[in-house]
Amino acid sequence: MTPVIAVVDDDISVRESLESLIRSVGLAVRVFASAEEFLESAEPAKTDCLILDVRLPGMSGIELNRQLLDSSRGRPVVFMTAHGYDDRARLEAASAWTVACLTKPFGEDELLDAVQAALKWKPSA
Amino acid sequence: MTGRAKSMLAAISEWIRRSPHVFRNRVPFGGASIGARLTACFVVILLSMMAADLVTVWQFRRITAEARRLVRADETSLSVVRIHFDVETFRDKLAAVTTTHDIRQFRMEAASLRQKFVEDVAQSQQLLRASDVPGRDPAIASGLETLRTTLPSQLDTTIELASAGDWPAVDLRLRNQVQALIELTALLVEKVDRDVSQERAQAVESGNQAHQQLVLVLPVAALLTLLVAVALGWYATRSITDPLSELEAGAQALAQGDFQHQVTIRGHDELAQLGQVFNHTARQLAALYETLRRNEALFRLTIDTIPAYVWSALPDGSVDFINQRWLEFSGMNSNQTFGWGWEAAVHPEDRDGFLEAWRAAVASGKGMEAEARVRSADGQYRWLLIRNVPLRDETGKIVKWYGTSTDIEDRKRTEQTLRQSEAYLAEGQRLAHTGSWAFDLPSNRYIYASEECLRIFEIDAIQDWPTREAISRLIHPEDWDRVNRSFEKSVRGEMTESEFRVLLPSGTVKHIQVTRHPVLNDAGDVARLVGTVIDVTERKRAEEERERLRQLEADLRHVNRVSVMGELAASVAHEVNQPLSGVVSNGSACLRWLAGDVPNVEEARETARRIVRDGKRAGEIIARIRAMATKSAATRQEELDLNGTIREVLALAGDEAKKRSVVIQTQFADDLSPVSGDRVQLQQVVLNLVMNAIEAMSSVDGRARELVITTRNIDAGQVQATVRDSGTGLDPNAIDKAFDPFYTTKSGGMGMGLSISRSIVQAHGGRLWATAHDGPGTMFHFALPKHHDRPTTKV
Repeated sequence: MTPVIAVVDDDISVRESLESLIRSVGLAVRVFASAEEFLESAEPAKTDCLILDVRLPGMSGIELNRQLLDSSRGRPVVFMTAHGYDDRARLEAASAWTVACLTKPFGEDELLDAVQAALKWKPSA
Repeated sequence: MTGRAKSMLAAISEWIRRSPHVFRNRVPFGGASIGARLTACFVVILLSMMAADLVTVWQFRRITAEARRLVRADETSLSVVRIHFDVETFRDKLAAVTTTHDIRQFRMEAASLRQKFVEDVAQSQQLLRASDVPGRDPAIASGLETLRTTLPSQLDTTIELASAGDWPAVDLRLRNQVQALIELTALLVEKVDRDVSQERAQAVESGNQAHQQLVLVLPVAALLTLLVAVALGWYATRSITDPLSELEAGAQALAQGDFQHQVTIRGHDELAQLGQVFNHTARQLAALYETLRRNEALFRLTIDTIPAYVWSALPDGSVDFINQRWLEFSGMNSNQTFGWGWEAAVHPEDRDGFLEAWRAAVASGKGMEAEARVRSADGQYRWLLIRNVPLRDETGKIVKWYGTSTDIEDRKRTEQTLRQSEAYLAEGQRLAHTGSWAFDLPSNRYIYASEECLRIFEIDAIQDWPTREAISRLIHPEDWDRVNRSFEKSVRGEMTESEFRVLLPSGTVKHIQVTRHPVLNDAGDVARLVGTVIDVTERKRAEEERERLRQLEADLRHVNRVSVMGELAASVAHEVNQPLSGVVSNGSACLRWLAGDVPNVEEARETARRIVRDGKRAGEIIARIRAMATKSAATRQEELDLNGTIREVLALAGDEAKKRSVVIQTQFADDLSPVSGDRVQLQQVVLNLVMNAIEAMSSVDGRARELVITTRNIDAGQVQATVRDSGTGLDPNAIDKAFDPFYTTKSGGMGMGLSISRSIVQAHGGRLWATAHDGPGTMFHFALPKHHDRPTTKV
């Protein structure tokens, strides 16, 4: 069964480019403009890996991850941020399901490695 | 006879004179009933009348007898005269017949004469025998007897002679023999006449005597009868009126309250029985009165002892009794209190009102209840609850008023304290904008709302307590569901809290915060909700204002940050990294779509198109940042009130100014014309100038740290703002250099503030400059074109 990757980012350029890139490697992709949109969809349970922007309008990526964890629906997450220097966000993003935190712009290998790792991810104890 | 009458009258008058004394001591025949006594009196009167009548009749009989005697005497006399005439007639008639010698006629006449003669003699003899008068001449009777025997024999002889025809003998005989008889009868007549006249005289005298006696006896008998009747009537009257007047006196004594009075009982008649009944009644009354008096004393004691003030008043409202307890309370005596005297004890402030109420009650006949302060013996006024009720007779007329009053001073004090507490609570609620309320579930109505609660909902006065639905209708439609759910939770027993908007009938929108606390009944069910309501409109507005200022501050900080090189770079990185990230990923994807065994040209083309798009976007971002960094872009153009713009900055800088003991004054032109521009950028300019001024005064001591901001219309096309400080001032030669980039006099500054500010002002078509102050400090001015009057802005 083809793994499903969900991309949540408010920036259309990021959404569209990641959708195309991931689809080009043969994975299924769903894109969402906000955390709320993702939660309202039926996807959370079907998602094998989440690619989340740290800063989102409304609920942030970090909060979305926390909420999934709190409701025992944790999924492997790859965070992305445009603020390369934002160490605080990196710290906040860290969790049992956090696979990686990529700084935009990132190379395709960086992303695909992280996705591959995520698909095999077992949450740390 | 007169003497006897006189002595009788004297005896009677003496008896009458003494009789009152007799009757005073006793009633004769008092043992008999009044009826019997009256009957006896009537009988005696009748008897006395009959006795008088008998005497009268007797006297009449005497007179009658004498009259009859007279008649008899006359009759005797007449009968003897008749005999005389008979004899004469005998002689004359026979003599006449003798001449005729008619023997038949002679015999006939003789027979007739003889019969008449015999009859007359017999009548005379009878009359004489009937009127046997003592001393009568006996010759009369014998003469008559002689006549009776002689005449018939003579007649017989004469008849014989006539029959024999011896008429001369007859004639002779008639003249001799009969003549002797005539003389005898004449003698008899004389004798009888004499006898009769004597008897007549006696009868007349006796009749006269009887007549005289009758004249005396009749009035005496009448008088006596009258006297007896009067005496008996008087006796009968006295025997009734005396006991009656004694009873009347007794009744009057009873009426005057002398229940010990007893009437004297005499005899056994009806009045005596009445007297006994009266005495018994009086004794009974005395006993009753005593009981009553004792009861009254007990009642009075009760009235005086019960813990209330009790009085009674006449129908006109004047007090006629008041109990001892009141007198002790008020220190007044009964006389001071009676009538309307009590009103002096009523507090002057309450007096008119109370009197009016009391008079109204008396006039209308309806009971009254009032509260008034009344002075006690120690001069202190105490609150009394006063009640008056009327007592009516069976016709409904008021006969008395009864009243009580109870000391309610303690209750009043408690009430006052309570009222004060309520007032404090209401004031507290008013100050805290917090009202309280209670809602009753069974009736589905609010049953209590504090003053503040009513004020929040803009309700002047409650006529009917509103239902839940009535209040729900005020809730903002967008909030209704949420509030309703919360309310239902409380109905199920949870304590809840909601914050929502209400739309009041006046059109006002208020933000209110409500807490609801369920109250259980004995059965453990929720019976009521009690809670608070807080008007948070002001707080909400303040929050919104704070939020706006926070946003403003954030905007300014953002601008500030952007203006600082390092932060500018960060911002540039973030803005550019987004499309850059798209470019990279799209590039990778494009390569991958083309690298497949069968290149997916369509996908590749699409990704390549996006690469171009994202690249352009990144370029635009760079250009915009560059434009800002090179201060050449007036990003927004809007109509601005420069005064308001400056005020918002002062709200931000106020804390800093206070911290540094700087007093900020504003001298704004009220008619300042609006300008066009970017609010945030212009505020950055003002903030820069203000912060510079504050910092410039940080080393000032010994004089006021004063910051004055002035605005004015300088000409038809421009407005000007001036920021003046009382700081150390700038070297006049250095004034122009102050606007160069990286020029700074501050240890921590970058020297970019004034440079950027000038760029911004110039971008708005205005200018920024500084002048030295007459006194200490510096003045920075900037002028901006008025709205619509500005030159076309470069993009």
